[in-house]
Amino acid sequence: MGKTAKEFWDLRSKKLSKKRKRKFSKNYRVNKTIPTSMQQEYVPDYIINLPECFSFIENLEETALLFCTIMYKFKSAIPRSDFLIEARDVSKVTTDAIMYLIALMRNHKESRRRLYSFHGTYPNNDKARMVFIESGLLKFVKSKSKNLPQNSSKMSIVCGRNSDGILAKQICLFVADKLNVSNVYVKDLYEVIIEMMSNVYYHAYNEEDTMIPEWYMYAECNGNDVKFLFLDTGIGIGKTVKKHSLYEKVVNKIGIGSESKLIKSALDGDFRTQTGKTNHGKGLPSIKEYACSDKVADFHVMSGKGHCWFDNEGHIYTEELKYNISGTIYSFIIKMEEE
Amino acid sequence: MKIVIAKDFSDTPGGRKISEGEFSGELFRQQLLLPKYEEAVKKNDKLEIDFDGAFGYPPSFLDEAFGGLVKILNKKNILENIVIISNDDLTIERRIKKYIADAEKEIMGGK
Repeated sequence: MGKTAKEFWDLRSKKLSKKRKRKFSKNYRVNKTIPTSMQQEYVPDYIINLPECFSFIENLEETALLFCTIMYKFKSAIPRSDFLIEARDVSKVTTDAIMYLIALMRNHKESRRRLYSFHGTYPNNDKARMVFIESGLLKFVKSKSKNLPQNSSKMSIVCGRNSDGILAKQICLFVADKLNVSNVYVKDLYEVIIEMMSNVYYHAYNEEDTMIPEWYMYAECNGNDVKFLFLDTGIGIGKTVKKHSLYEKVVNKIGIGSESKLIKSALDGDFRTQTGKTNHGKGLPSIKEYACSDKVADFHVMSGKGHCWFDNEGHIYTEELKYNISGTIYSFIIKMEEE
Repeated sequence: MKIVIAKDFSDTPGGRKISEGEFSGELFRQQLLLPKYEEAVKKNDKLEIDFDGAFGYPPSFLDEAFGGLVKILNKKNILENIVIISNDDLTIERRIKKYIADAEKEIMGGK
C-alpha cells in the first residue's frame, strides 16, 4: 500500500531535520565504508566533566566554578548543541549540586533559546549513583534506568514558580513524620518555605538575567534530623537589594562593600520599607529568625558571590565567593525536638 | 461572628497576592476578612478569628490581610472589633499587631 499524504510529509520533515542537525553539528562523522546502522554512534558536541566531589556544601569553590564554566559555554555554543554530563568519576555528591544542575538545564535562557540537549552518565561509585537516583533526578530527564521505588527517607526534588501551600504542607508533614513531632513544631518551617517561594515570585525576575525564575526543594531524613534544601534561579539577594529604594542609605550608613554583607544586611532587616510597596521585605528577616532558633542548625545561604551562615546565637558569618552562583541556595538541618 | 481560617478558608495559607498563588492574604481579606469585619462593625459586634488548625501563617499573608485591611479602610484601631484566637501559635497576635501598627504609620504618613 502507498503512503498517505500525512505519512509522506512526516517522513520528509524527519529527513530534513536530520539534514539540518548534520549542518550544525561540529562532530558529526560519516564514513561511507561503514554500514549506516553502525555510523550513528553518539558523539556529543561538548563534554562537561563533573568534579570528584560534586557538592556546594563540601566543595563550594570547585562546584561554583564548574557551573560558571557551563554557563559560559551556553553563551557561545551553537544552536542544538548536545552536552554530555560526565559523572562517572564522581565519588561524593550532595543533592544541592544535582538540583542546581537540573535548574541549569531547565531554566537557563540560552539553553532553552538555542534548544540544547543533554545526555548524562551516572557515577561508577555506588553510593554517589544512589544519591543521583534517589534525589528525584529521573523525574526531570528521560532515562533508560528503571524507576526504583522512592526511598522513604528522602522526599524527591520538586519545583514550581508560584507560592504553593500544598507542597509546603507535604514537606512539613514529611519532616514532622521523620522527626516524630507534631505539626505545630514545623509551623515556622511552613512559613519560611512560603516566604522563600514568594521571594522568587516578586524579586526574581529581571530581563537581563540568565535564568528563568523557578524554585526547587528537597528534604531527606538522616536519622535524628532532616536536611532541607531550597534553590531558586532568580536574580539573587544582592541584586534584589541593590534595586531597593533604601539601598544607598543603608550602604552609606553601614559601609557595605561586598555581596555577602549585603545579604547579611537584608537578613537583618535593614531593607524593610515603610513606603507601601508590594513586598515589605519581611521575608528575609523571618528566615533569619528561624535560622537562629533552636530547631535549626547549620544554616547556609549562598547567593551571587555571597555566602552567609549562622550560629544559634544569632551571629551571622560571611564569606565572599570567588565564583558567582546565579540564584540563591538555602541549606539547613531541622533538628529533633529537645525534651 | 466568627472565622475559623483552617475551615472557612484554608489550612495552607499562601503568600501575599492572588497572582502569586492559592489562598493568599489578599484573597482572604477580600473574601472573608473585610466583609465579615464590616458586618461586625455595623452590628456593633466583635469578629472572632480562630487561627488554629492551619499549617502556618507566613508574614506576607498576615501583613497583606491585616495591614491591607487598615489601608483599605483607612482607619486606625481595627483590633477594637477583632478577637484573635490562637492556641497553637502564641506569636500570631503580636505579629498581627505589628503589621497593623506599620500600616497605621503608613496611612498617618500619607495624611
